[in-house]
Amino acid sequence: MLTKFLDFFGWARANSPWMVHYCSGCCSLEILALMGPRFDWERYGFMPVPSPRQADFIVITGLISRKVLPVLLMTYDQMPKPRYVFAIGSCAFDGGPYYDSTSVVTNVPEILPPDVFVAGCPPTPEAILDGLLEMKKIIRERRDAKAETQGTWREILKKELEKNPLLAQQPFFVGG
Amino acid sequence: MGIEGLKKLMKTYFGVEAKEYPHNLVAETYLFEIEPVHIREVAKLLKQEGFNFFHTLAPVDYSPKGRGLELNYFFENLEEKVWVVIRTEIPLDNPQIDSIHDIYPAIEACEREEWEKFGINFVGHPRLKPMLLDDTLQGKWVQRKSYIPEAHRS
Amino acid sequence: MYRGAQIITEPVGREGDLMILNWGVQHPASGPMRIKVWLDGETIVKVENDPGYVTRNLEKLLEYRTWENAVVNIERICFIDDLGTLVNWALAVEKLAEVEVPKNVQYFRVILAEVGRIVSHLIGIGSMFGALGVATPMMWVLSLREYYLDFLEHYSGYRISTASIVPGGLKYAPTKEDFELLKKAIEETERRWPEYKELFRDNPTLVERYKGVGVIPKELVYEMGLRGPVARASGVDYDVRKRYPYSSYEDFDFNVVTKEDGDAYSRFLVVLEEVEESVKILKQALEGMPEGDKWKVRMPKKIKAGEVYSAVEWARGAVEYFVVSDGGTGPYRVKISAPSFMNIWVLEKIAPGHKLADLATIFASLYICHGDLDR
Repeated sequence: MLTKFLDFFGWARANSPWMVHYCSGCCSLEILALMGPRFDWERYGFMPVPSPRQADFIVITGLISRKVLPVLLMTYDQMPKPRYVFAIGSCAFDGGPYYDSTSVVTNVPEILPPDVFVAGCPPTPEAILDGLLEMKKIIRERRDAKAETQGTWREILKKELEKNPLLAQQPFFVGG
Repeated sequence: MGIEGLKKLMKTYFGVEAKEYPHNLVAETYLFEIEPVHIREVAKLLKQEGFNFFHTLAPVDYSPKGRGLELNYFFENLEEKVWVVIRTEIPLDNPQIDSIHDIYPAIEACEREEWEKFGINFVGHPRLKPMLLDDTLQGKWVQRKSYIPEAHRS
Repeated sequence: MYRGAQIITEPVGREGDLMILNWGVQHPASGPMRIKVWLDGETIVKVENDPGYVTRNLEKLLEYRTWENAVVNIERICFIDDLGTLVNWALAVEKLAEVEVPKNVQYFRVILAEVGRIVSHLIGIGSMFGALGVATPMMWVLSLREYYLDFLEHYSGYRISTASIVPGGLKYAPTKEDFELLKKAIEETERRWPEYKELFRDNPTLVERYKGVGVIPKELVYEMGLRGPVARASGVDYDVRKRYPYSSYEDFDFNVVTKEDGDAYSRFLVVLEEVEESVKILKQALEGMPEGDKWKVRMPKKIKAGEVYSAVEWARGAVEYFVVSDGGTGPYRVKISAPSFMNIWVLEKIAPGHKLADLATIFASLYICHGDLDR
């Protein structure tokens, strides 16, 4: 009975996955195209929301610079469970065209492992949509997000928070 | 006023001749090679002669070639459509030059960026503090030739 | 690095203490950038920019690339209009190598650069509405933008990172179908534009929020070295295409759009009307396309020592490179002077005195791309 009940929640979640309105790299342009009339992701229930507190998944839109990494992790940390990670673009895998840059994080999957990764520089909206449908399946089957059990993001975030005592005191920031 | 006036003034005050600068694809340009200590006086002259539009500040690290740090300031006279390059060279072990942010406010951000990337100490600049790079790269002067990104270290 | 709201203890007036608010990094209207706002109640007292969240250090990376390979990093200065930056790189390297490209290549570069400008301006118009929370215009411009992306995709195989302009010419020879697709995009623009213009320029929501907000006087343009639509909206007719024509721009008949007021609404109008001018250039370039099937000239692998300064009018203003060669297979040093980096600092001067809600509109009207702000 309970499983059926939870399955219903999975079904409901899978039909309206909301994205945090957050971009860190140039691949966000193709997400923008995906929001547009031609690809129209809202027919699958996808929608951007400004607040991470209401979101179901976060998109790593390609490039993650070293300066933006704590912001990404903090945004992810603020999301309610179940929370999923969706990564697009070669930068989110190994740095892509900036593989040798010292201000770019080149091991994002080790820090925040994505549930679905779409390759390309940038991937086409069709490919991203395909990946999003894949993620819908994961949400529907109520599978755990990879980042909940893997990845070093909690340690990095904790180190970051220790730098600022004001933030570390707040209970809702301590890597939930 | 204008480039003719500037040429004369630069000759009388600093003894610097204007050189043709054919490398600017865009417009007629003159090059003045000055001593770094004169940068503030030169900037005031430029402003007075109508070179009121600042374009860019481009330092080049020539230390592998046995020279110092070359600074190129690009200015434009909007009425005359003439550009001027002010070129000066400072030693890399003590990179120091006066800031001209109060004469050309547009240069403030550029000087801050070059301080962050080359370690040039712009004397008198109001906020030489981190801007573009993250904390781990501060003080490593990433744009200098002596800094090699990790992926290229053999 | 990411600090919460802090309270300053000195009281200011009757309104109470100043509060520092982080506007960004994760904010729907800011993009990956933080703006630190000092607030007295609702009024902005002071603003400080904190860019750098998409820093890649491109200037350093380019020192490890070859002349042609650098295209990959050059076009990623900003993805919204990657073609303008490529034109500039091609011009700079060709000047260093003393290579001339044929007229048909120059014309096709003009076509690509103007397509890039249209694509970028359409997103700019959409995001200026987006800052108000109005979503419909964004949908309209995105659907029009797809026609131009179809042309780019058919021509180069990619929608927004085309890598199609290389030093020495073009990477790919354009085919007949490419021109057909471009003509279709232009027809579609001309069919829709009267309706779009009516909706956009007289939109009461936009006029209400943008008129008289964030005024940049003409003197401030000179003082802060502002470029592009921001400068032109304040009455400075600085357009590199007209002022110092490059890549055969002197052959085309177009106007430099300028406005006198210098407020956010003028900046919006400049961007809106520049789309029309770009369509005008596109039509002339298609008509007057010179004969010729040589699309690439042989470029030397090593380029002799020298330096060059080049500038082109990009969607956001003049993008300028200072390139130094030491006779190697790649650049010795590249300095990228980008318009967004020059334009963003004016925000600190004009935002104080406005209400917090106006910050989004002023920021959107400055037409910033974070890619070329941080490089």
